[in-house]
Amino acid sequence: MAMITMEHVRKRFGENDVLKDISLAVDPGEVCCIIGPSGSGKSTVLRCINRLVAIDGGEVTVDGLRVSDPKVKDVDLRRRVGMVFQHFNLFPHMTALQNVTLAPRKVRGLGQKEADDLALRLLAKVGLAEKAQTYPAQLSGGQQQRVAIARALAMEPKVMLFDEATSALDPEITGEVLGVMRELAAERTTMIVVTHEMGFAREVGTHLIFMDGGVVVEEGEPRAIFERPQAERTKAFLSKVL
Amino acid sequence: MWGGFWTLEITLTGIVGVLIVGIVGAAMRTSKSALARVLATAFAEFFRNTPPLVWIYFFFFALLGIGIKLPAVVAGTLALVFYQGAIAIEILRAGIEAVAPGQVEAASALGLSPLQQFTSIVLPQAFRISLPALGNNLISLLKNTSLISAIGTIEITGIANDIIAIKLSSAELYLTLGAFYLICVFIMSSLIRYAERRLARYGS
Amino acid sequence: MNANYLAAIREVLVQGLPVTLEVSIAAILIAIGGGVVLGVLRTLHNRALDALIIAYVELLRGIPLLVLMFFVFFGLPQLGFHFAEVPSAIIALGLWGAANGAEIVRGAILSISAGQAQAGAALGLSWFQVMVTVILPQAVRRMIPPFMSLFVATVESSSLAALIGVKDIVEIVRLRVENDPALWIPLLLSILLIYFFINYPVSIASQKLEKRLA
Repeated sequence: MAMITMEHVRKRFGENDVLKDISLAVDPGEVCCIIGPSGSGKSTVLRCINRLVAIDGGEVTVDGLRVSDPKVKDVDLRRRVGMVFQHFNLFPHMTALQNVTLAPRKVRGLGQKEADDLALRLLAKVGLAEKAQTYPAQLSGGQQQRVAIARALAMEPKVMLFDEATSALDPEITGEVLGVMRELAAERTTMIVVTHEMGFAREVGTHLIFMDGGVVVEEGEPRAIFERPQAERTKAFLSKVL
Repeated sequence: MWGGFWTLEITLTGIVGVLIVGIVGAAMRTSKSALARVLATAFAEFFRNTPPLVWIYFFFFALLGIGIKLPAVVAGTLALVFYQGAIAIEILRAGIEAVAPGQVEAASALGLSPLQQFTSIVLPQAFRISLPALGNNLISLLKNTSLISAIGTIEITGIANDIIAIKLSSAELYLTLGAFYLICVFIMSSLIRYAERRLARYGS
Repeated sequence: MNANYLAAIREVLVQGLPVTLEVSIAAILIAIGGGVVLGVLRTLHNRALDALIIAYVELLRGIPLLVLMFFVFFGLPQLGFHFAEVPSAIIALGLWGAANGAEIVRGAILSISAGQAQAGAALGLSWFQVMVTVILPQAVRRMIPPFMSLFVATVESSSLAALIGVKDIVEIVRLRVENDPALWIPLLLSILLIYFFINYPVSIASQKLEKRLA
C-alpha cells in the first residue's frame, strides 16, 4: 500500500492555480524526487501533504489517513510526516539540543531525559553531537540544516519531506547535507525530495517526478528520464539544467 | 522621601500589569478570531489615544460617583496599567508580526498546537524584538507614576508638592525630585540594555 | 443634571478646547523646530556639541513631564524667572517635545544611507548644501509618521497643564464637578471622547503613512 497518495489535487492562491491536477503515489522506502522550474508548485505539493496548506480539490492520503477528513487532526498528520525547509527555520532562542527535544517533549509527551537521549543520538547521527549546546546563530548553514533534519527525525515520522533543503546553502556545503540525506535513503526512509540537485536525484532517487505549471508532466525511474525524456517540456527543462 | 518607596512599588506592580495586558492583548490582536481582534484593537486604540491623567481621574473620582471607592494607589495603578498596557499591545503586536513566518511553519510541521507555537516560539522571539520599545514603555510608566499625585499624595511627586505647600524651597525640591527620577530611569535603562545584550546572542 | 451637563460641556468645548489645542500646537511647533536644529547639529559629529545635546535629551526624557512643568511654573520664580500658567505649560511641553524631536530627526537622518552624503560630498557640495539639498528632503518623509505620534503624545500630555492651573478641557471639568460631583462620569467620558477624536485620526494616518513609506 502506498504511503502517500495524491489524486487530482487542486490548489489555488488568489488568481493563481498553483496546482491544477496532481496525482502521484509514493511507496514505503521510496526516495521520490520532484524536479521542475520555479513556480511549478513543487513546494506547495509538499505542504499539502502535512496540511500546512489546505487543498481545494482532490484527495491526499498519508499512511491511510485522508488529509481532507476533518476528524483527522493536524497532529496525527505531523507525527507521521517530518519536514525540512529551505531556510532551515531553526528556533533561534533555543540551543540545537532544545530545538530537537521541543516537539518530542510537547507533542509526543516524552520526559526530559528520554527526549535528551533521543536528541543526542540524532545529533550524533547527523554528525553534530558536540554542537548540542550551541545556538543556531553560531552554526554554519550546513550545520543548521543538519540540526533541522535531526529535529524532524525526532518525531520518528514515517515519511520525510525535503523542500529544496540545499538551495540556500553555499555549493561547497551542500555536500554535508546531501550526505545525511543519502544515509537516510540507504536506511530505507520514505522520502519526498523537492530539489535542484540533479546528481542526487539521479543517483539516490528511486522515483522521479517532473512538474511544470501545476501538473505532473512526466514520472518514472530517474536514470530513464534523465537519459531519455519523453515529453517536450521535460527535454527543455533538462537541457537547461544539465 | 518615602514616597520614593511607593513610586517604586507602583512601578513594579505596574510593570507586571502592563506585561499581562500587553501579552494577552497582543495575542488577541493577532488571533484568528475576528471578535478577539476587534475587541483588542478597540481597547488598545481607545486607551492609547487618551491621556493617562484623565484615566487616573476616572478610576478614582468617576468610580467614586457610582459607589466604588478605590484607594488612590489602586486607582492610579489601574489607570496606568490600562494606558501603558494599551501601548504595550501595539508594541508586542509589531514584534509578533516581525517573527519570521518560517518559524511558525516549522513549529506547525512539528505538530505543535497553536498555543504551544505561540508560547514557545512566537512570543519569546517577539519579546526580544520588542525589547527596546517595551523598555521605553516601562520607563514611561515609571515617569507617569508622578501623575498619581493629582489624586493623592502617596508617591514622591505628591509628597514633594505637600512639602512645598509647607515650606518654600520649591526649586531645590524639584531639582532633587528630578534627580530621583533620573537615577531610577538610568537604572531601568541599564537593566534593559543589559537584557538586550544578553538576548542578542540568539541573533535573528 | 442635564442642564448642568450641557452648560459644562459648552464651556469645555468653547473655552477649554481652544486652550488645549493652543498649548499642544505651540508645543509641537517648538518640538519640530528645536528637534530639527538639534538633530541636524548631531550630524556635525562635534564631540562637545554632541555631549551637550545628548545630556539635554537624556535629561528631558529621564524626568517626568509633570515634574518639569512644576519646576518651570513653581520653581523658576525662585530663580527669578516668572512665567504664567499657559507659557509655562508651553515651555515645558516644548522642551520635552524638542528632546523627542531631536531623536526623531536624528533617526531619520541616520536612516538615509551614508552613500548619499558621500555622493554629495564627492560632487563638491558643502556640508550645508548636502544637508539641505540631499539629506533633509529624503529624511523629512521619514520624520512625518513619528512626529505625528509625537503630536498625539503632546496632546495627551497637555492635560498635565491642568495641574498647574491652565484652563484646558481637563481643568474645566475639574472646576465644574466641584459644584456638582454627579458630573464626573459624563464629563470625563466626554473629554475622553474629545481626546480620542483628535488623536485617533492622527494615529491612523501615521500608521498608514508609515506603511506607505516602508
